[in-house]
Amino acid sequence: MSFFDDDDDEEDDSLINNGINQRGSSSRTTRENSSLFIDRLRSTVSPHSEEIQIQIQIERERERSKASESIFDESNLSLSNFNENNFENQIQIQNYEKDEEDDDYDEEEEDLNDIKKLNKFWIKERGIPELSNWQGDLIDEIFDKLEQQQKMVNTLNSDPQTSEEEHFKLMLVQTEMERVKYLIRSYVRTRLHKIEKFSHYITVTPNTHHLLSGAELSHAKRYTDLLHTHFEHSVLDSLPEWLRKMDDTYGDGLSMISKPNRNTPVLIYCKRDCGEITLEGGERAALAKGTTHLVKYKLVDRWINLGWAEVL
Amino acid sequence: MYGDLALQLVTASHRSTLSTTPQLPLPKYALPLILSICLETRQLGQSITTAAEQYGQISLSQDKSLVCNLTVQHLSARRNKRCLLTYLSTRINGIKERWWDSGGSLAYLLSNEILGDNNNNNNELENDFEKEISNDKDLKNNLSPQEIDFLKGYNNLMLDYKSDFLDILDLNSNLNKPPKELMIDIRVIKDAGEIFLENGEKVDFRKGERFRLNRSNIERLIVQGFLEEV
Repeated sequence: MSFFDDDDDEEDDSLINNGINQRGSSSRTTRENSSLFIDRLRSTVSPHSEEIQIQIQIERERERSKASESIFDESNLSLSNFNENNFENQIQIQNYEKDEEDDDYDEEEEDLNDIKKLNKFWIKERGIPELSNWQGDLIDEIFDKLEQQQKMVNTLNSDPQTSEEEHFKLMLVQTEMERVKYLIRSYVRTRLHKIEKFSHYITVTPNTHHLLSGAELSHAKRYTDLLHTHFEHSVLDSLPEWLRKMDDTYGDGLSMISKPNRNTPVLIYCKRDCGEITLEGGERAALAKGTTHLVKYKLVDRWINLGWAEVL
Repeated sequence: MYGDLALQLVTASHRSTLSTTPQLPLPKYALPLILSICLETRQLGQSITTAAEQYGQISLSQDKSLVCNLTVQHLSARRNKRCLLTYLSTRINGIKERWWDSGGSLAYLLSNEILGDNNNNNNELENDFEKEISNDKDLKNNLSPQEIDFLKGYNNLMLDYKSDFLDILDLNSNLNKPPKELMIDIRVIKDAGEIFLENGEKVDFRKGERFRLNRSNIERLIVQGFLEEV
């Protein structure tokens, strides 16, 4: 069951292989088919059960007639795009191609659906050494959708009228949900890792607090406490008193509070013309639109935060 | 020489992190070494204080050899502290890593100890080598009491954090690769008894049997070594 290996090429292939339908008509069928299915899914969460029964009856008949026309076209694949796009495709697009995205920056920003956005933030979070903004609204929205979809799936799964083919579709939906969950999990855990690494720094630097969610902030504080208690109980308590502090600065200017290393190199892709930057050696480099660079984070953080450059 | 012990500690700790794949068991907490380093540091502190008291402010600005002496002692003391903390935090990272690897199950992490102990008690005739191995594998035996406290605290902390959205998402599931399939084939390698799955189904896992099940349902059992992916 590795349908998610399929990318656009294979989707096209199945189109061609179908041969029965013209390209246009087949995709129309698909759209109708899947929209029917989506309607059905939606209707199951609304409380009017009688209506649903009728609706389902009607749809079932219509679907049956459709099914005889095209038993197996790419509708199953396009179904995975229902609500959430196949994110493997997106990763590929984001990682390698970019060709669709760099056309027009402003337009594109609005077009993105939630999963695409999450994908971007996930990549960014993993790419840069500092914490970036917590995407609370986005995550909440995706959580809502996931919950809703789980309900739909449960209802349809327990519905004895659901046909074999529909079970198959449901499975695709579920797999897609698992993959979205994976994204969120990875996103949250990347952040947690950074937060724990720099917990003391975050705790004592109030102007980083707006980057964190409430839960994350309290996690940072409590983690710092926990860690310091551990250090104190283990060794610090048996050292001379003047050595017990946790926020000393050494003679060479090295602080005990570790900060994000802003000298970490990041790989960026310029979506806009970002002007010139001055490198360490006094050299200047132009960040032209559509180019990729490997530079120190502190030199380009402005552009990354503005969204003009994208971390890869 | 001042700081030799600390160097020993840090080198050992560094070595233990070098091989992460396959993950080595966490080395035993080096309590004797740590105690002697603390002692050394205390002695240094003591000697600095007495020297400062004895000679007073005036001679400090004149007697260059005294200043030099105090500086060296001071730096050694600080270095000792730094080495100790480095050692501790390296271990903390290792502990956290194991916590995440075990799927965030504290009971499972610490239950190794019970198993190991039973083994030791039951088979006392076993040769020392095997004993050593089973000892090495027990995480709990190798942790200091403070570290166990930390682990428990960390566990609580993470429980608090993830409980907000546990009904939708389990933060602890594995992150190795994005899931490609919903169902996986598994083989039971250890009796796990009857287990209720998410959908209310009851499955009796007996050794040697094979199933095809929803991944998210049984991931935990795989992590804990009851099941194996085929």
